[in-house]
Amino acid sequence: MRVVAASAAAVDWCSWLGLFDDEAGLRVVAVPTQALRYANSLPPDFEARFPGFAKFRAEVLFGFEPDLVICDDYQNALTIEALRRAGTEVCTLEAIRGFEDLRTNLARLARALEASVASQRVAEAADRLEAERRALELQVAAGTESWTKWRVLPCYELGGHIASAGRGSSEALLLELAGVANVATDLGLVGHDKVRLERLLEVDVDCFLVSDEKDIEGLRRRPALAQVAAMREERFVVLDARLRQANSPFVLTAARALRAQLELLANPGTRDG
Amino acid sequence: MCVLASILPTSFVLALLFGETRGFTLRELWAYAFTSDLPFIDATILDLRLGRALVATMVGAALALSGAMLQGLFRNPLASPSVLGVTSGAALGASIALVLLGGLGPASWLRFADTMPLVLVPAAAFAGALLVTALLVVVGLRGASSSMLLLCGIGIASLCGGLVQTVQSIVLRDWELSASITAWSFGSLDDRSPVHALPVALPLAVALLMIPFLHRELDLVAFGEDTARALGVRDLRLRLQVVLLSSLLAASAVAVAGQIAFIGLVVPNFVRLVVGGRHGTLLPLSALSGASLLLVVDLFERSVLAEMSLQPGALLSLVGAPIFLFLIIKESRGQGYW
Repeated sequence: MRVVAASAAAVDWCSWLGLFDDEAGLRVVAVPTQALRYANSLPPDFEARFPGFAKFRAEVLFGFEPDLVICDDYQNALTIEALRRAGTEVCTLEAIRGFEDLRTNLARLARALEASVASQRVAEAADRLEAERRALELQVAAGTESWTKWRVLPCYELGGHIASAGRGSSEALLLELAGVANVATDLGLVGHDKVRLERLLEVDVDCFLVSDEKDIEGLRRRPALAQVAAMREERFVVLDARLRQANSPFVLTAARALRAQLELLANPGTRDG
Repeated sequence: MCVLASILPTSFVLALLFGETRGFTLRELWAYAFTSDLPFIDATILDLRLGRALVATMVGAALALSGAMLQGLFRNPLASPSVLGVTSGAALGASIALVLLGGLGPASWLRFADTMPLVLVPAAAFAGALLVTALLVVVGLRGASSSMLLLCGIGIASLCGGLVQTVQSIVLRDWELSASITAWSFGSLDDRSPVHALPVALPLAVALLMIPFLHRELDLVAFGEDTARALGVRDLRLRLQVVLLSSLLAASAVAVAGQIAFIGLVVPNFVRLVVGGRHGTLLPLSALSGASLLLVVDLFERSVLAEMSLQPGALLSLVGAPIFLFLIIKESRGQGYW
């Protein structure tokens, strides 16, 4: 079976399922070049081993003679239809808005790969997904550390405004899995939206979740935020942008990384597993 | 004139021979067209290119012919379907449909029928453009002069543009939906099939058939509305015919390919520079040139710029605008071409 992983999320899923391994029983024949920037886990010698393509177009994808194309369900529907018309199976993955979407995507992949040797890996992956979640839930339930009470605001710059990720976003799931409160949800934000500073001052924030130092500088440049607890206490958690926006099972990895970062911030010198 | 006319078949064949993947020989193209003696993969790739080339031909021709008609009617080189608000009306229709559907694709709420958004969004775009056309026709029927009609069009375009921005602001939080609207507004020929060419081909055929009945009157309008009227031009009827035809052309083109800027405005001006202002020649050659230009630009984007994601409207403006400016400046040093 020849597979094209046509989005960064599809590449993440293939990595997580171990489909890039030589023993997987199928061949990933092409990946998008943007996976280099946005995918969370790439196999060794990724660029040399897997031909890249820049455009999600039927002719480009069809040129790799795939049996299966894995892509996101918001990618060009005309391309998806053209591929299906040409007899190529297309497995579309939902954007992750809740844990149920991970299960849905895994079920779709299981259906698409059921005739391949990799079907066993996918079946095992379902158990792994649930086990990873249970492990996180246990950690959250047992957590007594001070930071578990923190109210975190994931934030980034959006055209001169501070934006955040509220209900129905993968970052909201990330915070939920990590066991911390999402201020954006309290603010009533749905999806990714601008944050009104006035409301932010009203609800207060214990910690900012950012992608890099530039984000922190951006927050510091806003005098209005000086009164926010997170600012006064210098509480910033830096998580790589790709991990923050993981649209795949790597959201579980992101949740573990966030917990570790929060632990480190609350108790410098210690490191949570 | 012969050169312009010969570019279309040449560029059409080139659009089939070259693309993002393998190149084909003329012999293979012959086999594809007449003997069905090609491997499945090659035939499928040529199917994909054929659909795209047909849509590029129809859309390019429709937009350029629409612009040429409007410029003739309004005696204004700045007139184009977008100035009349037709493309903004289409954009508004498409944006509303995308919001109601939740996106253009399997992500939309019409999961039970994946292909429905692919029909409904262009249909809504067409409806939006028709609504604007209807408004313009009503204004025209009330006896508005050409300049008044043009001003009404500009007003409607601003209103529709504002409404589109409002819709975009409202859905900014939904990344997938915002991306759908933005992608649609860029205009694209990606993965269109021959079926997509049909809705544009029909109004285009009607408009081309109407040229013999319109070109003389449009020539007379160039002398001014009063003179044209004195020479027997029935200006109200002409205005309605031209506005209706050009709007239908633009509406169908925009519904199928999104907003592809530049062609409707620049191609007729370019052709006028080359062949003069007689509409009997100008209108068909504008259609031919618009089709050829979009085919060539699309071929360039698919072959030379295969690694870059650049939509045809942007590429047309980047490549064509400097050439056009050069021609205009060169011409203005001699005598006005209009």
